[in-house]
Amino acid sequence: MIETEMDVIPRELPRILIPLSGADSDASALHVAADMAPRDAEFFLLHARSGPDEERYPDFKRASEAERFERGIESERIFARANAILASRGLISAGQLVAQGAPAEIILRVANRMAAELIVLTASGPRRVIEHATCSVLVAGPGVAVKLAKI
Amino acid sequence: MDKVVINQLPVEKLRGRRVFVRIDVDSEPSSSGVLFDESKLRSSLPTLEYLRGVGSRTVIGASLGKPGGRVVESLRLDPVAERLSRMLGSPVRKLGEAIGRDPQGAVAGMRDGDLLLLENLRFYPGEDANDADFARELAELCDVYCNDAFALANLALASTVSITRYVRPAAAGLALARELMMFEAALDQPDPPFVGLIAGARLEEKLPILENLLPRLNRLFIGGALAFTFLEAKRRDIGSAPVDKALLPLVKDFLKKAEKEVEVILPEDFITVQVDEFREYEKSGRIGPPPEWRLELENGIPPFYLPVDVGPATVNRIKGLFEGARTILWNGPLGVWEIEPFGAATRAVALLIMERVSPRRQRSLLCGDSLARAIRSFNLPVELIRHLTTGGEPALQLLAGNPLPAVSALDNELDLVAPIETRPRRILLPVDGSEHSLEAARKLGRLIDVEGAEISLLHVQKPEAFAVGDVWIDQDAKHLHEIRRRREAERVFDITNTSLAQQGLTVRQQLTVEGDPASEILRFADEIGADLIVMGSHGRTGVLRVLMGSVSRKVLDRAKCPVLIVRIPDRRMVEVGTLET
Repeated sequence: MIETEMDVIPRELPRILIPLSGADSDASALHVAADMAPRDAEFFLLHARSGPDEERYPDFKRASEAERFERGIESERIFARANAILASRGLISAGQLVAQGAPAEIILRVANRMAAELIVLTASGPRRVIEHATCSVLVAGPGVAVKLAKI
Repeated sequence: MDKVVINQLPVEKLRGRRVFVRIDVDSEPSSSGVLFDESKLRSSLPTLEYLRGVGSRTVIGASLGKPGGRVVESLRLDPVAERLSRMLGSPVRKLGEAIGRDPQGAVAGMRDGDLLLLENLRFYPGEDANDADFARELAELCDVYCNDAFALANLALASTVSITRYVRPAAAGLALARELMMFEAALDQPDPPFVGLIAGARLEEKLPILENLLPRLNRLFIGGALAFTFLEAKRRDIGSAPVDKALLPLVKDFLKKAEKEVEVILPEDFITVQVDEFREYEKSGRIGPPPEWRLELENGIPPFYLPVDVGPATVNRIKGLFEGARTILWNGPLGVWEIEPFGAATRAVALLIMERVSPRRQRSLLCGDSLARAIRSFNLPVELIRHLTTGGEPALQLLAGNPLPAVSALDNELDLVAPIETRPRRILLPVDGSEHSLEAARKLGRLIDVEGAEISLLHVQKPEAFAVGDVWIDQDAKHLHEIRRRREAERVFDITNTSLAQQGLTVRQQLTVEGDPASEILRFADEIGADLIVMGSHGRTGVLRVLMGSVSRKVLDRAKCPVLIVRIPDRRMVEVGTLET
């Protein structure tokens, strides 16, 4: 490959972060994302679990192995559902993450860290994310009646 | 990708049908016995959950360990079924056999959405032999075939290759599809500069990979034990480092050929240990403190010293390579990572990928079994690393440009694919000429699928103060006002249209109205049946604490369709505190 080819304008795929809480409303965020986002976007799922922020307070009493295991199982279930919904819309997620803390804070932190360009939230998603995000936010507001594809 | 993926099949081909899914749960044998690999099991959850959701009758096939074609009690799959049941939150029934009358009866009794796990396929000699009869018996259990086992894709097994002769359609599972797409993106159309970091051992296996990558790469770093033979070819003093003498001529040829195409970079410094001390330490089963190490330059390793890791200058060089790269491929660890201090460089580069490469929009692909094991052993949050592949051997085959038998066996008939439902989206873009609304227009095509979208622009103007209701006090003032308004609206539409046109977008209608912005936006959105309202908004502005305009907030609260809030990055903010749309 010759050096001049390096000047080619890069094809950056937009990165989209979809926070999940495990509630039924997750489905509407996923469907709105599938409806609206570009087909070539990279969809990242984030299970934002509320609880003591383990990254911010590393000295805080860590969860026991058994607790962590149970949590892992719960997250997997949430991801499996979410992936199935995306799959039903012809999409495949590019990655999935779990973090514990105050949901708004986690979502903002992860979005920044991974340079997400768009966060997709439901009406029940934390308001602070909409107000403080440095990237764009797609909100399926309270009035949105999302026709959930039966899957 | 030219292979059919399971979610591309029409749902009616899956609902109520028996779907065989081959998954992979195999792990490296550990000291605590053979356990299945949780991360591999997790990777197949999306496919299984999808099939359960659409109402398939899912028959899962898997193998564990090397039972050699006979039943080994400790390798039964009951723990896998139990874990799967818990992860899916839905029972997965486990059978004691994979073929024969029992499985046939069990499958016949399945209901829509049920999942069933067959016994370890490797209990049958036909599996590894890619045996047609065994495959036919498995095929009798299903109507649709789905392979979701990337880590086995380099092998021709009865349940991955032969079976596809008896079951149509044969589709890729979601995890397999994701892996293949990652490789395709990195190998077929890499964004240049493309940097390869090829390390580890086994030069004879890595040479074909290097040959295959050569025309694609811009820069190639060769590290790990591989580098020794390359350094030897360049006549460096590398002490007691093992050199593959037989391959030396091939390495010299490669370097000569590479010179013209790509910059080849070799380690600059090494962490070294006395070779005798190291051997003693290895012999002792790595008990006690590891041998003392010293840092040496690549051309000055004394005899009887053995390089066990690359040094800080080399890590720095790799960091520099990454800085300018857009696509990064990393295969193989840089040092003897199993011994704690000598995994430092591998860990440092993994951290670099996690903290600097993954967050930026550089594409990175990490592959190889030992690299994956190394990275997992460092206790780093691996999910932040993009993308760590689950398959070692298939990854190497893809890197060497070889086809994977289990992938080749899948269907690529496009007529199987259900068309993706598309309808024109109606997008409402309120505009006021501010930097925010312009940014919304600029980013629209990037954040939203605008293919065939109908875009409407709405410019809301505030009612003039010197009008009392609809009655104007001064007719001249009214006239002047109208002209000014019209001009303002034209200017706003012009700049917005220009910005949209640059993305290849055209506007269906543009309208100017007077009134309260939020109410007018909501009313017009209803009127056109908008699928999306796009609003520009400030990023955080610190001192002024203007977080989100009242218009955006009101629209968000009351809109009947999704609302996209487009942020201006702080550095681009020109008019802090401007009224937003």
